[in-house]
Amino acid sequence: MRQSVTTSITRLRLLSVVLGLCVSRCSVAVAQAQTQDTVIYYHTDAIGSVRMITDANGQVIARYDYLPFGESWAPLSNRDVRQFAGKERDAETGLDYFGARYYSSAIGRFTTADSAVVLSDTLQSPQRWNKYTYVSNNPMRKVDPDGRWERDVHYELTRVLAEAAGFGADEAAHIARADQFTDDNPATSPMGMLPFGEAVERRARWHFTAGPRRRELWTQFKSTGSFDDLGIFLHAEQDSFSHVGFSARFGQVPSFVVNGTDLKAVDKTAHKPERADAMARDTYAWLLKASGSRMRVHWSVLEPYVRRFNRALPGEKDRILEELERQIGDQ
Amino acid sequence: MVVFLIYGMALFAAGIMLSGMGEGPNWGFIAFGSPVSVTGLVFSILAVWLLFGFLLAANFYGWAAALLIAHYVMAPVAVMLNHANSWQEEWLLLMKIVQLDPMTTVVLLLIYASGQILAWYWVIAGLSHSRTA
Repeated sequence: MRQSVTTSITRLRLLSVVLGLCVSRCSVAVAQAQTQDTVIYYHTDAIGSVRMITDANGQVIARYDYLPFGESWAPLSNRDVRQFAGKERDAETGLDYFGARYYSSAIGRFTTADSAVVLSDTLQSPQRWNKYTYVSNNPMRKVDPDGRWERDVHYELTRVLAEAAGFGADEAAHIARADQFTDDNPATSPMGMLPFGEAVERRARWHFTAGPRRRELWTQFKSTGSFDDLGIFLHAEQDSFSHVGFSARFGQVPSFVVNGTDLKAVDKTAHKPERADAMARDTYAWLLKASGSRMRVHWSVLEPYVRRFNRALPGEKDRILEELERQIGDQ
Repeated sequence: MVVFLIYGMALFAAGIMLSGMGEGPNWGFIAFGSPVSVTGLVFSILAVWLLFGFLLAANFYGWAAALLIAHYVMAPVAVMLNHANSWQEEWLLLMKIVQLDPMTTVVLLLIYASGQILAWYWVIAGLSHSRTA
């Protein structure tokens, strides 16, 4: 069964390329029928919305189109559970379940307030004063993975740098999503309670990587050309800056000697901004290498914004990236 | 005293494990070290349980009981004062780590609970013994 699913995924990726559709990510779901398994495929766009469902023969079962805030473009013919941003839509209420909160695409607002918003951070970003807004009212450029605020380095900064390196907006979002997903995916998550076993292996393979492992991930990207693989490589590369001096076995635990109980402090750009600057420059260099000759913006243009970003509070970071995006658009 | 030094060391390790080796929430780390962890000091857990062991060894059972009660009452305050990210983010990280390894979570909580039972047993036994004497 696993063999056939893997083969099918490979076929599906080929099919997506051949069709030239706006399909950036493929996943597979196996629905249990009463007498026989039925395999269906979700085709998602850059923000994870399900745009098409096909069967094992590549026949289209359903198509979906959405307005920017998730409202359906046309009445849905085949109502599948997963819809806008890949989230489950509740059939009775029509609300999308984002993990932390429910979202109403009809009004473009979450149904409950974002308790993750910190007042001091929002002072720099008026779009965040409203605790019910979706991605700071900017759904064309941003995606909210779970109803909490956006992730800074692995998603936001990577997406903007990818655009500066010459990738299209959809491509950049795809790369950034794959980068962020390395943390969120249970199969590659760095989290784990024990200093041995699977968690250590996950940390060693995706987060606390050695040089040869990162070269392996880069080679993987070069051989497939997949933006998923590029995002995974960038995640390992970026982490190699913040995780200097730590091992896969004990993760960031030794940092308590310096940072007290805030063991995640090393992951914050403001913790060691010079190191974060180097990380951003390295990320950009790899993105340029990945994009070939599509370079649009010189590093000297990006550097002042990146330096401010790495030293800013979370609320300010949004505004800085928006300025940087405008700058990139002007180039 | 030695028993609670070992207990403190075990809870220190449990706090680190509940933090997902530095990738998860620091709530366990702080809650186990309450009330001293309101200060944010990293070795609060060892300090609290070493102090508790000392109070028992010195027959200060009333103070030991007061320390236990302060431990429970101040735990939410300590967490509130020291969480590294937003409440919601920390809560989701906690759920994530528990889902990743539910068995280890249960074992760690059992270690904590058994230490508490032992602590209260000695405190109550000590108090009733000193009353009868």
